[in-house]
Amino acid sequence: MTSHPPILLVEDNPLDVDLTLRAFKRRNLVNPVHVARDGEEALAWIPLWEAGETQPAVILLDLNMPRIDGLSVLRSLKTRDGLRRIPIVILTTSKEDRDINTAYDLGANSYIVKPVDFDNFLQVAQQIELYWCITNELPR
Amino acid sequence: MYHSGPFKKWSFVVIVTLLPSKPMTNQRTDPISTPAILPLQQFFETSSHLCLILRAHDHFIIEMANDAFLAATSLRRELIIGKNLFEIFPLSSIEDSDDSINVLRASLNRVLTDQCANTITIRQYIIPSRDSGESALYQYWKLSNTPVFDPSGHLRYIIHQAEHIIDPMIACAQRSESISAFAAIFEQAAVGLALLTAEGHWIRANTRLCEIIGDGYEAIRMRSFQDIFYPNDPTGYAEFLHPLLAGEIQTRSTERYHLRNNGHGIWVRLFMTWIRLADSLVDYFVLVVEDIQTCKEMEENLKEAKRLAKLGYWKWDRDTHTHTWSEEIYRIYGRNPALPPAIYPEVQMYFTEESWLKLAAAVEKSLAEGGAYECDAEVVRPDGSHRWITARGDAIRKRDGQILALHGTVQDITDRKLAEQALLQLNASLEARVAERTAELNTLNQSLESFVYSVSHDLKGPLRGIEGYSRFLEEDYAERLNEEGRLFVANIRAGVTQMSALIDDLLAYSRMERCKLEPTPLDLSILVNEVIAEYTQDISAHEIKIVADLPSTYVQADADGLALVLRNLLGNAIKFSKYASQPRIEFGVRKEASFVITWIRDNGIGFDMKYNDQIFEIFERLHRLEDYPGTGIGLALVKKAMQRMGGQVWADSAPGKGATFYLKLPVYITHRDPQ
Repeated sequence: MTSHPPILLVEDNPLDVDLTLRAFKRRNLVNPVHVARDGEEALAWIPLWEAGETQPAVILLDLNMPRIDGLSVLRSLKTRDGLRRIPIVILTTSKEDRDINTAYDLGANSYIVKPVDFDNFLQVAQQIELYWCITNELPR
Repeated sequence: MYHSGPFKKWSFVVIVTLLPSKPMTNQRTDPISTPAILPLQQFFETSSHLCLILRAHDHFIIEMANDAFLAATSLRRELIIGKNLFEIFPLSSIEDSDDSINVLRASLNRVLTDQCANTITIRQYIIPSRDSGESALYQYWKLSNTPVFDPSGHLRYIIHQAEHIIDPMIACAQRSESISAFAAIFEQAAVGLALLTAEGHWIRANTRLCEIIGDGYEAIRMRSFQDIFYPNDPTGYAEFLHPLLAGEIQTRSTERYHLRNNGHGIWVRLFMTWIRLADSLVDYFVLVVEDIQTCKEMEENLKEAKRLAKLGYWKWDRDTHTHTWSEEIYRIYGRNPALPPAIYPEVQMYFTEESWLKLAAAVEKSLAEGGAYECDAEVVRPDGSHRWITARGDAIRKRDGQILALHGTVQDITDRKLAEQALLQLNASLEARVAERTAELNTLNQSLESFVYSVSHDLKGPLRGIEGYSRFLEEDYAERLNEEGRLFVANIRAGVTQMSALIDDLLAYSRMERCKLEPTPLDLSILVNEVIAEYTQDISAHEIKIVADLPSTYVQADADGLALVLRNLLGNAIKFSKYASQPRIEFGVRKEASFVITWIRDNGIGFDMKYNDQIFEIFERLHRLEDYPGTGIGLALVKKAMQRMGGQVWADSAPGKGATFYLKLPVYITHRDPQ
């Protein structure tokens, strides 16, 4: 079995980061998870990927973050020839029509609202893992 | 005028022949005894003229009187012969008898001094009646005194003649044998009619004239025309009559204010004509008097109305190029009233250039096509002040359609115009203020929006943390917690659930305030069934009977908004009726002319109508959370959504009697079947 591509989790809330990681761990996720603590850290990955670092299987992107928000990160990634094929899933608390539509307009591949209820949250984590890391065929 | 010509040359011969050589006193010599003079005596006695022969230098002793005189005056010959004329004159007392005596005496004295005939113009005298039963007669006599000289040229006698001036109209009418018709016409004329002597004495007047003057005829004829219509105004009277008497014109008319005896005054119009009737030897005045009081009042009223309305009238005669302006136009334009009206191009100076172009175009068009026009224009007075007017005009056409003249009105509307301008300014400033407020509100809305956005994101994050970690605690450390510890964790998670629901509802409410609703035709029956389907699980769990046989009914509403409303109402109905013994929820619909009323009725716990207003307010709850969980936002959300869709919601309930919630929505109207 080849090495599993990583998942990039872009999330500023440490509790959410911890909960997400724990949720993945409970579901026995095999893919490594990188964490970017805000938009700037996320964008810092770009030169690495462009230099040949393995691109993630999926980027889980929060929207509301200090300094550079999720939508700006999304725009940057989706306008780069070498990176626009990386699947980006918006994982956020916002249910605003405006956010949803803008995200899709900018090329988001999916939009998931983070549930407060922990059971639902676990389910979501599982679905993400199943779908984006197993079911989905990655660009080559 | 009458001159006693026949007596001139040979009269003395006749008279001395007639008269006895010695003057008589009481006894008259029978002239018949002298056959030679019989024809002359007969001539004298049967003459239709009323004659006396007076001694010239003996106090005007009456020498002879003829039959006509005696007949007319009812005097007996033996009673007057040998008497001084003034013993029998005046014949009857009248008011101005002194005047009459003086006039007669003056006339006789003139004959003595001038040695020629003298005439007294027509005067009214009162003649005693022949029958004692009858009252005295008023008669118009023209008296003349003619000298008679003896062969040596001495003045010896005076022939005193009285010519009875018969009412000329009656005389005329008698001749044409239609007196009754004539009298009727005269009497029944709608205007006052009268015949006057040259001195202004009444010969005849109709009833209408008496009515206008405001007195009986008996009283009227005691006064002259001048006394009645020109009291204390001899100058005015002279001015009025002069052109007539001078023969310059034949008819004179004027308007006079006539003060009646009862103190009331009226305006009258007088027409006076100087005429000589056929067969008549004397001249008369024909007087026509019109009561123009009503006319005058209307004229005054109209003038006053025009002044109050600030309404002026003008007329421009195209053929004669005459312009007419009412007083008010002078006032409006500020033109000197002494000047003639401004002719058409000159009037331009009273307008601003812009207004003149507009007005001139309207006038030219009316002149060319004959239509009416109306336009507002700005007037600039010579003193520089500005006024606003409404100018209206129209063409006057001849019978053949040709335009004869233009006429119209000018109304000062400055006050209204200023008010309008003030209103416009006020509106403009109001609009500016509204725009300003709207901008402020938009800013506020935007900050509210971002606030709500933060709430959704920032509140939910920590909440998820509490939820997640309490879950980990429960699952991973359950064996280390005792029962109380586990209860605490469960309570923490219940709190999180409630708070999460609260945030969700709050967000939904805020979204309902901000979102754009798009009303489209919706079939209510389909939407109701879709919402019912969402609650299938709850409905079957509590064995609730649902009645929703709605006919297809189209309303105009936003699909998401209406679904949210129905979802909340059905959720409430289930929540409050699920513990009833036989829970039942019924949907109904009623169509009115322009709207649809639909309702959802449950047989649940209901509520007291005193809380009716309260339940639609945000965060208002009627029940404890542990009995009936909820956020207190649902009905506020329903109300907000109905408002936004142009509808209404209201409720009807009683404790323990269930509740009915009504929705009123605009009906969807279409000409074809909306399938």
